Amino acid sequence: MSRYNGRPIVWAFEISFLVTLAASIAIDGPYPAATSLVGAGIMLSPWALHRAGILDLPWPVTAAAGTVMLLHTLGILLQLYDRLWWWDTMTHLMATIIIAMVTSLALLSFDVLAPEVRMPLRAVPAATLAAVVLMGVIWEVLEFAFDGALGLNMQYSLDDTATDLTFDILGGGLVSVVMVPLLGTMGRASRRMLHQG
Amino acid sequence: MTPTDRGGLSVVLLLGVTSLAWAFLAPQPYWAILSAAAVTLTIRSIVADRPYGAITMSLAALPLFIVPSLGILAGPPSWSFLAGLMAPVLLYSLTSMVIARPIEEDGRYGTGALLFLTLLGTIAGGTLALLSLYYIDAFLFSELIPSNSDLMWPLSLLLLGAIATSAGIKAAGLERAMAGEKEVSG
Repeated sequence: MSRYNGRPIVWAFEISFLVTLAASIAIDGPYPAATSLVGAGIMLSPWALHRAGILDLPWPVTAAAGTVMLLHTLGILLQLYDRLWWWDTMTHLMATIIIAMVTSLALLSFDVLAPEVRMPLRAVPAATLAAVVLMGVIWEVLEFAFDGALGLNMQYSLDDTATDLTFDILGGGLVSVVMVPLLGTMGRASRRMLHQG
Repeated sequence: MTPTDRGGLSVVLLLGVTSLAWAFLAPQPYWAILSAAAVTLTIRSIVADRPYGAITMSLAALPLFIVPSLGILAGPPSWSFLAGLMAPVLLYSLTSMVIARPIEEDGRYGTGALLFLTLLGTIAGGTLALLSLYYIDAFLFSELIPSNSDLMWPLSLLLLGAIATSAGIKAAGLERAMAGEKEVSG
């Protein structure tokens, strides 16, 4: 099996998350420490997908996903979510765009990964937007559940939750609109990714 | 359209209008939006002379009947919970009305795509309905969604309910029936 071409990026982010983990332990912060561990785990997934022969995520997508996870972890560690009003909006929008990109590639590969699904190209933009909304809802429901169960304050207010969901929809919508003229190219790219895996 | 199809659509339309009236009086704005969507889609079906399957009609009729009637019996404290609980079932049926027939007619989609897209559409539709109430509040200074819990409880029930409804449809093998195949819908 060939080596995953995004390996240096995966390594760079693994080291970054080790640094944020060490800083979290130094300041006795369990929440940023847990986020660092989750980030390190998520950044292993492009390599794991390659190893399993399922998918070769393009390295720019891997780098973008790592950047967003690192910004999120730094936001928690350095309390940037409290200090900068736009930090939450920025990370949500960036994360949504990346999730939408990965989701669209996955949806375009559905007929190869799961032949029984057979999803035509024209359904992909709408399905991408709806899938991004689904993930945004799952995220908010998890935050709501953790706030209730552990007495945290991950959801600051109604305005914060509604803004997060709105930017999820805007990010997903943006990718869906941009992808319409590129569907054929993206379909071919997704198949190439699968064959490389 | 057969007399049975017309009868089914008339029942859903009647229940939808009753449910809409109750939701306005209660007031339950989330349920009012969903009831209005049910009425609109039923009228569209009657006008376009395109019936839906019996399973889809039953799934739409059930929550439209249960929420106002149980709501009246149980009293105001139960209203939001009832609406939140039954919303995914109604939304699942409404999403099927919108996407199942084009999917069925396209012929290239499998049942997996049907189930997947209906689940996505259900959650996206409910989320947009709740967010629209938030923005109505922001622009009109009303209090349709007064607190974060008033947004998050219906959203949580929507997510869990939509997944449970999809799982139920799959377990019962009713994906094709939702699209109105003749042998199932009768």
